[in-house]
Amino acid sequence: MRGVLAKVLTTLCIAAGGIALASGSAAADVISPPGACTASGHFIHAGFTKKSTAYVSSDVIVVPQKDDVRWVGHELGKPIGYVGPKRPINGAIQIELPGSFGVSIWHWGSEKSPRYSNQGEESYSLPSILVGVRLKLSGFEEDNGKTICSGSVYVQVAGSRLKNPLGWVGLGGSVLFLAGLVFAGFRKVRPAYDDINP
Amino acid sequence: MASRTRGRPVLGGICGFFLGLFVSISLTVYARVPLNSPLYIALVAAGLVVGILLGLVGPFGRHRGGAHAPRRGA
Repeated sequence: MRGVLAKVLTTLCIAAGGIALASGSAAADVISPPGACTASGHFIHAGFTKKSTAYVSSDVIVVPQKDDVRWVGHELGKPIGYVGPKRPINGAIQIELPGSFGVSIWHWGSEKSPRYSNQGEESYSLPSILVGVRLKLSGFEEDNGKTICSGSVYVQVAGSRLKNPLGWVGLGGSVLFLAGLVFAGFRKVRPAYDDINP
Repeated sequence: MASRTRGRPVLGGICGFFLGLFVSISLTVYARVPLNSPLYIALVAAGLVVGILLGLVGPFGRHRGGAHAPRRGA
């Protein structure tokens, strides 16, 4: 289950235009330091392109529930196909949860990687329980143990909130447990000794 | 006379906890509160505390008389 979720969220991240993709993307205003890494994702069916340089960390990128995405990521502005000095790389994408708790949904690394850019195409289809949910994704890329870039952005799946079954579960559970809470607040009355034995 | 006990603090705590949880789920979907918001922890904790307090105090229901209240039918 966790693997499926990780895959789904990873493709979601890619769909968002990438914060940090395979060989370390992430970007400009979304990323610190600006311009250290850049990424873009072209949504083939929706017909638009999202670039990391067009957003800031507080922005919400709305993505389709299902699409194919052609993504590109660059580290230090190096073009696709560029081969440089080999170095150990390490990177990850996390989904941030309450309490500053992060779950890593994608991790990559290599002892000696000559690549400074990468590209690919991914298909994704997200479950309806994610429609309307706003997720904060963060990512980083390290070279030689030093952080080259890091950043975060919010992602939200497009669609009607009413189509999300999780919302109905939330409402139903709220009503049920509110009733339980009220019931718990009613006084219990036990007969005293002299009520039983007048 | 009747000796009055309060409400149900254990049930209140459980219901309050889950009320906070389900309200959080509703907020995630309908109010678009980000999933990393600290509001969720606050809601669940508040639900737990309010539920226990509600159970301890027992503010709902009939108030019976005190120790010196006349017995029914007396």
